[in-house]
Amino acid sequence: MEYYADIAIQIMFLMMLALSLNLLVGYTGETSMAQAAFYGIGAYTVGLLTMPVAVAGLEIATSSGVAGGAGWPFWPAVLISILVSAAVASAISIPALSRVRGEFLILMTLAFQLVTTQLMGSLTSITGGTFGLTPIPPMTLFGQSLIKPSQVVIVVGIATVLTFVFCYRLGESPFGRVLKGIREQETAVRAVGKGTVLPKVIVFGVAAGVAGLAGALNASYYQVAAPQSFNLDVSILAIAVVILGGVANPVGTVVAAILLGLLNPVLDALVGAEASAWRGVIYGLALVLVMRYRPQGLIPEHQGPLRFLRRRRRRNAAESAAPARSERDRVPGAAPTATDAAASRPAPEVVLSVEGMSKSFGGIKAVSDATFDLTRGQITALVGPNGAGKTTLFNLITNAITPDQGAVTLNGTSITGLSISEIARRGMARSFQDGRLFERLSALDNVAMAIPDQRAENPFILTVRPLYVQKRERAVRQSALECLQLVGMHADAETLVADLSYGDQKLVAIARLIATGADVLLLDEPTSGVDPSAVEHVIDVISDLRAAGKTICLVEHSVHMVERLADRAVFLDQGRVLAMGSMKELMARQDLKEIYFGA
Amino acid sequence: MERSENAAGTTDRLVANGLVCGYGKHSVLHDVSLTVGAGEIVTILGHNGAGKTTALKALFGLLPVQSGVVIHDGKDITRTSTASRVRGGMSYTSATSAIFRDLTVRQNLELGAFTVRDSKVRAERLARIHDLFPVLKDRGSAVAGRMSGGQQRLLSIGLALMSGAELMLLDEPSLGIAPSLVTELFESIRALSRDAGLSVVLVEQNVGAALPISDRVYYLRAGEILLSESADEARARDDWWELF
Repeated sequence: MEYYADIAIQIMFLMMLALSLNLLVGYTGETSMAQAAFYGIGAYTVGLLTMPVAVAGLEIATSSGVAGGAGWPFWPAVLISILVSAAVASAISIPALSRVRGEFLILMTLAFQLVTTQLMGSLTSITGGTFGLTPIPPMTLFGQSLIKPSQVVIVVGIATVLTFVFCYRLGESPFGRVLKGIREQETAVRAVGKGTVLPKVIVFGVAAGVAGLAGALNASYYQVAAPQSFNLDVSILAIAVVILGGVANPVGTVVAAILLGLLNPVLDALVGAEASAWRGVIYGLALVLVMRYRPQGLIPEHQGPLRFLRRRRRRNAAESAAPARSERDRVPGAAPTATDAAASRPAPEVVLSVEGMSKSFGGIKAVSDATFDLTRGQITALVGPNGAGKTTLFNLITNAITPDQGAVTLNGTSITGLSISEIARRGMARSFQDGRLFERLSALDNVAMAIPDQRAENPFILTVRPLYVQKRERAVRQSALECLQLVGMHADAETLVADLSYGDQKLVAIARLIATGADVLLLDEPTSGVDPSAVEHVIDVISDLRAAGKTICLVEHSVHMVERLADRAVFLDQGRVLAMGSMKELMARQDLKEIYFGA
Repeated sequence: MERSENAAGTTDRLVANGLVCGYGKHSVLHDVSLTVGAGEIVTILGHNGAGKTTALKALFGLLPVQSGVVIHDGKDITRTSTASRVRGGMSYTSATSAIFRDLTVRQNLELGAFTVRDSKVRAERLARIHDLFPVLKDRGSAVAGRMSGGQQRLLSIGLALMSGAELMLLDEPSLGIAPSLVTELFESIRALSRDAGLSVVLVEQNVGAALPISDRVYYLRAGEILLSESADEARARDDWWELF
C-alpha cells in the first residue's frame, strides 16, 4: 500500500511540473529548460524556512552542516516558496522574453538550470551541498505531521487536481487566448494592439510558481532537498512529458506523466535491478515513435475527453448566430449608399498624414521622402510597379520597420516612433499580405483576440473574479461574433482557421481588423490569392467599411481592382510619390504609363 | 478531358489546359490555358502577383498542379518530374536565382549540360554559346556572381541553351539590368528563336521591351487569362491599364 502511494506521489510531482510547463511550451510556444530549477528553488525555500532555528550551544542534528532554518510553520513556507520561484522566474525571463520569439530563451533557461544545480551543490553552508538540505520537517495538516506516503498522497493529490484545474482554466481563458496568439503569430497580436512581453513574463512566473509548489511538497515529503532531484535531466523529463502527451492539452500531459512515471516501477517489477539500463532506451524510443506517428502528441490540442466543453460553447455560438446565417450584416453606421454619404459629407477631413517618409536598405532607397494624406471615409490605394516600395511604406507607417526619416500624424497627434500595438490602440490597424492569422484557433477566437480593453485578459482578475470574467468573456465573444457577421463568416465561428479556405481566411483577417475598433485600416493585398468567386464578396465588405466612415488605405497590384475599389490612388515608383489622384486621372498620364509598362 | 484532341496533329510545342494550382490553400492560378508553337515567342503579361511566375513553375513541374493538363511535344507531362522535362528539352530561368553565383562562368555552363552524356555534343554547344555571347568565353574563369547584371542574364540564357532546350521558360529576364542591355538581350532571344526554332514563354512586367520580340501575348489578371491576342494587336494599344 505505502509502496503504491509513493509511486503515485512521484507521478503527481511529475504531473505538476509538466502541467505548468505546458502553459509555456504548449500554450505560449516558448520552451524553458529550467523547470526543474524552479522546482528546486521551491524545495530549498521550504526547507530553509521550516527547519528549526539554530540555537547557540545546542547543535541540531543536521547531517549536512547547515546552521539551521527559520522555524516557520509549513503552509506559510509553501506560499513563500511559490512566490520565490515565480519571482525569480519572472525576473530572469524579462530580458529573454522582450525579444520576439527565440532560441534565446532556451539558451538562457539552460544556463540558469545548470548554474542553479551547480549552486545547490556548492553553496554548502546554505544548501547542504551535494548531500542536500536535511532533515526538512514533514508537511503538516491540521496540526498533524504527515509522514506516511498514504497520508501525503492525499495532500499531493489535492494539489495536483488544483494544478490541473488551474492550468486548464488559465489555458482556456482570455489570457490563454492571448498566449496562444503569441504562439501562433506574435506580430499579429501586437498588430491588434496587445502587448506580448507582459503575458509571456507572467506565464513564465506562473509556471515556475506551480513548479515551486511541487518542489515544496517534494522537499517536505522526502525531508530532503538535494541537487540531483532538480537537475537538467528532470527538466528534460518534464519537456518529454509535455511533448509526448500533446502540447496545449492538459489531459495529454496527465496521461503521459502516468505512462512515463509508471515505466520505472513496472520495469523494476518485470526485469529487476538491471532495469535502469533500459530506461533511457525506452524513453528515447517512445519519443521517437510519438514524433513519427503522432507528431501532435498522444492527445492533440483540440481532442481528448474535455472536448465536450468546447462543443457546448460551439453549440451556443451557432444558436446565437442562427437568425442571420445566410445574410451578412451591414457595418454599423453604414450609410444606405456610399454616394449619399458623400453628398452629406463636409469638406474632406485628413485623418492620417505621412510626411517625408524615407528608408534605405544598404544604400538602396526603398522609400524616399514620401508624403501623402488619408481622408476620412475614403479608400486610398498605393499603386506602382513591382518594387515601388508600397508594402515597405505600410511597414514604415505602422513602425514595423523603423523609418530613417519622416513623421506620421493620426487625428492630429504624432504617432511617429510608437510601437505597432500602441498605434493600433490609437485607432490605426493593419492587415498582412499573408493573413498572419492564428491558425490553430477558431475564427471566433481570432477575432476575439483583437477586441480592445479586455480586463478579463488579466490573469489576476481571472483568478479573483471568475464570474466577472465569465460575463465579460460572453460579451467579448458576442462582439467578436458580430464582427464575423459583418464579413459573413459567423456560421464558421467555431471552425479552426487552418480548416478554412484562403478566401474565408482573408475575411476573418478583415473581421479581426474591424474588431480592433480602429478607424484607419491599412489593408495589404486584401484580394490576392482569393478565389475569383469570392473576390466580389471581399470587395463588398471593403466598400461597406468605407460607407461606415472608416478610412482605408490599401496596397493592391491589380490596377483593375484599384479602379473598382479606390477613391484615389498614390502612384509610387522607386520609393517616391510621383502622383496622386483618381485612378482615371493617373491612367491618363503618359509619364506614369511609361513607368508602369516600360513603354 | 480533351487531352488527346489537343495533343494530336498540332504543331504546338506546349499546350496547357485548365491549369489550377497554388501554394497550399492559397490558390494562384484558376483555369489557365495556353499554347506555344514551335519557334514562337509567347509573352505572359500581368500585374505583380497575377500568377505569372506560378504559371511558369507549373509548366516546369516545380509546383504540382491541382487540375489541368500540360502537353509537351504531344506527350502528357502533367505528372512527370522536372528532371524528365529538362531531358525532354525544356528549361526554366528564374527571375532572381538563375545562375550558380559562387561558381565560375565555365562551371555554370558545364552544369547547364548536366543531362547531356555525349562530351562531343557538350563541346559543340559550348562553342556555339561562345560564338553567340563572346563575353562568356572571355570571362570564362570569372566567378558568376561578380559579373554585371547584364552578363549574368546572358549566362542564364547560356545555361538554358547548354541543356539543349527547345522550349525556354524565361521569368523576367529584364529585371535589374540597364535598359540599353534589355533591348540587346531581347534581340538575341529573338534571333535564337528565328534561327534555331527555339520556342519561348516569356514572363514580363516590362511591356515595352517584351512586345517588339513577341509573337503572341496572354494577359493574366488575378490568376485568370483575361485575353490572348497577337503581339501586333497588343502593340497597337495606347495603354494596357484595363488589362492589369
